[in-house]
Amino acid sequence: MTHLGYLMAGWGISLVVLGGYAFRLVRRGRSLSALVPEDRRRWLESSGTDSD
Amino acid sequence: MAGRDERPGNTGSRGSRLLGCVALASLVVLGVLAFFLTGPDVRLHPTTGEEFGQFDAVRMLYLHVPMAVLMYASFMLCAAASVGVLVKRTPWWDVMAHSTAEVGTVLCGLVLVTGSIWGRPVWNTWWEWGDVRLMTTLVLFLLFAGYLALRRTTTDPRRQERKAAVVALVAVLDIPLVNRSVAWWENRTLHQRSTLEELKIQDLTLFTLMFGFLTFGLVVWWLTLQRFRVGWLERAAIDHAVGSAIAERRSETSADELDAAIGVTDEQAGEASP
Amino acid sequence: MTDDAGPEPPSLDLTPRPARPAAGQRRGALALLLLLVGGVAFVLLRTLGDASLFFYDVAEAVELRSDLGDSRFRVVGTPQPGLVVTESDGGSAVVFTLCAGDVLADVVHQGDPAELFQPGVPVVLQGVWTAGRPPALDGLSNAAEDGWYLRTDHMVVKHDNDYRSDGAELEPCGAAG
Repeated sequence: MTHLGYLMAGWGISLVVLGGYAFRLVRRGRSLSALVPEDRRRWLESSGTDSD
Repeated sequence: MAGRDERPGNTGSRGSRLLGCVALASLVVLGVLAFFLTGPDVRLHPTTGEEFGQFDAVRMLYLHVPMAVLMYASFMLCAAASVGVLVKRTPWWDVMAHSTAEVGTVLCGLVLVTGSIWGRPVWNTWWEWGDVRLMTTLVLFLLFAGYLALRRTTTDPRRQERKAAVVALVAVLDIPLVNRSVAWWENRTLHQRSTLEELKIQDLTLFTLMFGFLTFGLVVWWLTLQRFRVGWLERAAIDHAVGSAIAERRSETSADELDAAIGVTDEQAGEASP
Repeated sequence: MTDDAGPEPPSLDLTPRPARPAAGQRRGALALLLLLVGGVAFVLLRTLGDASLFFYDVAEAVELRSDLGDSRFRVVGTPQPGLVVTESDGGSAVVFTLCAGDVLADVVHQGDPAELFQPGVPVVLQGVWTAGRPPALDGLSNAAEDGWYLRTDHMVVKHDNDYRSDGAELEPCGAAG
């Protein structure tokens, strides 16, 4: 395969950045959730069915 | 429920977890299509008879082009939400504008980086100062980075929402310039014209590119959803902290002090008592 | 506070106030904002202010030869088949003929050519017009031989937008066409 180094760099950087950003969002969401009552997390299903 | 409250929460719901799993699986399939099932771009030159094309560097296309299109979509959504901020003035629109701007800026940065990496073998340059497509994209990135910087000048997102909405609406004017630059200033850019508009792509290459749009659509949807929930939580956390502080302050204050604070005299308080 | 507190203005202010970031954080964000505004201004000046970033095609470059004089400019065209690798000014150079339509211009490109450089694939070159006969001209099959050549030192490939396996709608030019 030609240009493999460039391909690995392009795909690698993109996946690492997107993955890192996703991880940061999830972690920030977790820390903020702890500060907020459950009824303000409006995307959760009712407490009986939510699997959080 | 006390038991539930003790566990750390998160921004996940059943739907978003499913969406995340589908997006991840799609990324894996896209990788297989891009690296193993599609071929390199090799053609025979009609006059020289020699092989020419981008060869394997074309595999960057399946990443770069979908991210660019989803970047446009994110910024357009940001502009629409910014109109909502100015007209409706509800938190939903502002959180949506902020979320789509942030996701779009991440994509814009990656579009610049992957374009630069692709350009080195194919164009023979990492970057061309003065190239209209590259420059307008860089300006778009800087404008939205400015939008995000403006929002960081305060810890309460509500303080800058109207100014930020105006910045977003100005920044988004650059999108037609970015998109049409390859047609309007063909002699000021190395970037090729749109392949899809002229449908100069077919078979598995076209399918893989379309699958790339679907995959990055799912990824961006998931990221925007999570970012929206984080933004919503940031506001809720501020409100909750303020409410808790007031309640705490009230609990530390005697009834007499509270009466004094709101200007009720002892006589009035006595009359009001049962 | 005791029972004999008079009807003085209350000292307990319960009005919620949004939190303000620390002064350092605010200054940092403002500095970043200024840096970004400066970045946009720099990019616009760089893009709009440098006329050499505009590409002439070969026919325009030939027509404007006297106006261009010693100034550096960019030219886009298609290399003709028949390249000669030679020595020039103590370094390696590629000599070839660039064309657009039926207009030709000889080129001496100093340094390594682009990785995907080959006859028939358009390139953008940056350099100056030079009077005289280029080196190794006899090795070219269809040279312009008009007493001038382009001395260039920057080459980028202008790739097409065709991804079809049989797609090669490149515009023919010069003898190759």
